[in-house]
Amino acid sequence: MLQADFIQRVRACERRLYRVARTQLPRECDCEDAVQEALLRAWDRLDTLKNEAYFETWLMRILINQCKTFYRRRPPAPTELTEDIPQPEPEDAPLLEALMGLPQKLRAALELHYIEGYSVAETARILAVPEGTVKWRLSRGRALLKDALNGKEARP
Amino acid sequence: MKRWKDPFPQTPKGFHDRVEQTLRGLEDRDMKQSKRYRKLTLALVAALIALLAIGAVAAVIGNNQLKDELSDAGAKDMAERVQDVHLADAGEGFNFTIDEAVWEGDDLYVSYTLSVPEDGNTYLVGLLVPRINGKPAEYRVGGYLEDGWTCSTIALGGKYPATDTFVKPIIADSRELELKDMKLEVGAAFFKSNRPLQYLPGFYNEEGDYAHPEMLVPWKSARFKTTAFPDSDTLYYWDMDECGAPMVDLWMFPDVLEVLSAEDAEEKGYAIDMKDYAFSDRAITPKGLDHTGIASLAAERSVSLPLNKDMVSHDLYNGLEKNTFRYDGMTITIEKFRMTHFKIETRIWLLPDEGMPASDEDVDFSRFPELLFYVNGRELYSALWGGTESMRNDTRAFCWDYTYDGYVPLGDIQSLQLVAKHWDEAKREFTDEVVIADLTPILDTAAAEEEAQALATREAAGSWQPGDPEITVWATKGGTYYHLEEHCSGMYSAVHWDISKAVEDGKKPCPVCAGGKPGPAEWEEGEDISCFQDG
Repeated sequence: MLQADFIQRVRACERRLYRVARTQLPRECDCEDAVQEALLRAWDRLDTLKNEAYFETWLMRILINQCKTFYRRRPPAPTELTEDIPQPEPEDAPLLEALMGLPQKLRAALELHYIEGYSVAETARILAVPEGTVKWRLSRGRALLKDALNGKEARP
Repeated sequence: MKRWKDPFPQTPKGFHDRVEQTLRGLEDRDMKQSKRYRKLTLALVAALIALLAIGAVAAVIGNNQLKDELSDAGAKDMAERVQDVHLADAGEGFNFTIDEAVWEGDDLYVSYTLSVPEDGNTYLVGLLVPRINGKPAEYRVGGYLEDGWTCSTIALGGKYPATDTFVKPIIADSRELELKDMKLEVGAAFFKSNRPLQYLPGFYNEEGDYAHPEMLVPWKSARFKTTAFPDSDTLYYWDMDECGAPMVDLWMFPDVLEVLSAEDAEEKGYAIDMKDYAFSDRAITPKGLDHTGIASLAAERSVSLPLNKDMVSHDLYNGLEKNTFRYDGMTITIEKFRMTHFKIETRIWLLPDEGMPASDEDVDFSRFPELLFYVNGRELYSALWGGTESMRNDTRAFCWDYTYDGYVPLGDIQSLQLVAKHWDEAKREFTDEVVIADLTPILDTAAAEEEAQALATREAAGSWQPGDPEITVWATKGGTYYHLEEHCSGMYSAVHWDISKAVEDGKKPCPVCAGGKPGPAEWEEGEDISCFQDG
């Protein structure tokens, strides 16, 4: 893949990169650092991409791995946005809030499958887990999300 | 699947700017490195031309997947033991290369590369059942072509990648391995596909069951309330590997079933009896698959690995200091726990306080959890074999006899947990995972070290030379062998000897307990032992 193609394809999925990073890391600054690291790593390891058709899923997997590394280095701490940094208005604040309240593993599976539109197989590949695990996480995530949106306590 | 509305806020400017900044940085960085790369490329081209001339291309384009995966999992000690093999059988565009190999206990892991000609055709490639000293190896992992149960192939070429790399465990017989060096043959058969391939994803049927195309065969479709697959002249697949090559399992195709069920299949060489070697009754052969007309045999490639027992690593934990736990009104006993860098083998008994029903038919299987192991927070996957269906008749306990696959960083285990989850039939989902026991503090490191020490002694005894450190062995006065076990093979009246004295007396290391090699009479007639000289 030529560099121009790489750049073009990264730009085409910038929005998706943001959402995936944001699902993994609550702090915007960490998302920026993680995407930078992921893009550099992806470019350096481009030879490991055997089929360009899978560029996006490959890149998302690298990004998620990078996010995990960031998460381990700097566990999330609650931060408040200062007034001089305006918080963008979410498209669907309740859903986002409920989603972000889920355990990280479930959140990632739901985001990749239902928001990014990856198939179960693709989601499994990105998260490096078996398809059965993805299906379970989707099922469990949906149930918890439903409870959260209905204002119920999470089911045990 | 209905996609959800995007709930996220607009992409922040800071994120967008960082992406752009990084992409611009790539251009600058690339320019600085271009000179170095050009020189390197020229050198590589020169090397490649030279190697082409001697027909050993595959020797240098091998992959390091096994080393990389072990390193990524934290098992760096094992990664260092991986041997670069790079044995290739290539010709006419069909290539099979064993790139790396590493032994541990009775597991041989290899990474290998498959290539097909880039001639526009799609080829189905299947691994042949490995053979040890000419005989099919006893293996417990499916995924071979000659495996009647999965009949697995990978599609390469045409619109799919022409080259692919894999990591695969090949299971050998450890007892044989410990006794003597051996020759392992592994290979692949390449078929030109005569049918188009089509992706057919899994789906949920009306009852909420997840169905794969394998469930669409006529005799299964009724059960899963689906129609049989739409066109039996198409090869459907529902998954691809990481390189994007479709994984095509042929076992459910009527043509394959027909060959496998024919009474004279073995006589005609279309199938082989696998009962002694694996869980399949009968396996299709390359000739048999060719006979189906699904694909035409184009080439077979195989290599022989001369394996030396010195290559074997025996790092393992064997047992736990404590092995009984309580969970959900039952007693859980870990009877067997064997952990290597690649797997955990277990046999776990679950005995409910209320006891087991007298009859198997009355057992409520939902009472028993599915058991998982997490090592350093990473789940090991339960493998296909073993099973929950077996019960021990005397105690009427429920048996969970499973092997879990995965990379285990034996040298750096931070946590090891036994976890349970239940299948909730009403909700059709698994319940939350519950940690039954944190096994980390009770790993029996002493037993592991003792076992490692015993193996080291065994190797030392088997290759003892005058001048080596003295070892105390057991032997009888007129016996041929010296032993490390007092009652080896029912021996009695053995007494302690110094190994130097035993060797001086003409005794040899016992092949059973002291790492000795069998004498020529114990080798099979006609077997060429000259090839076992070197690992």
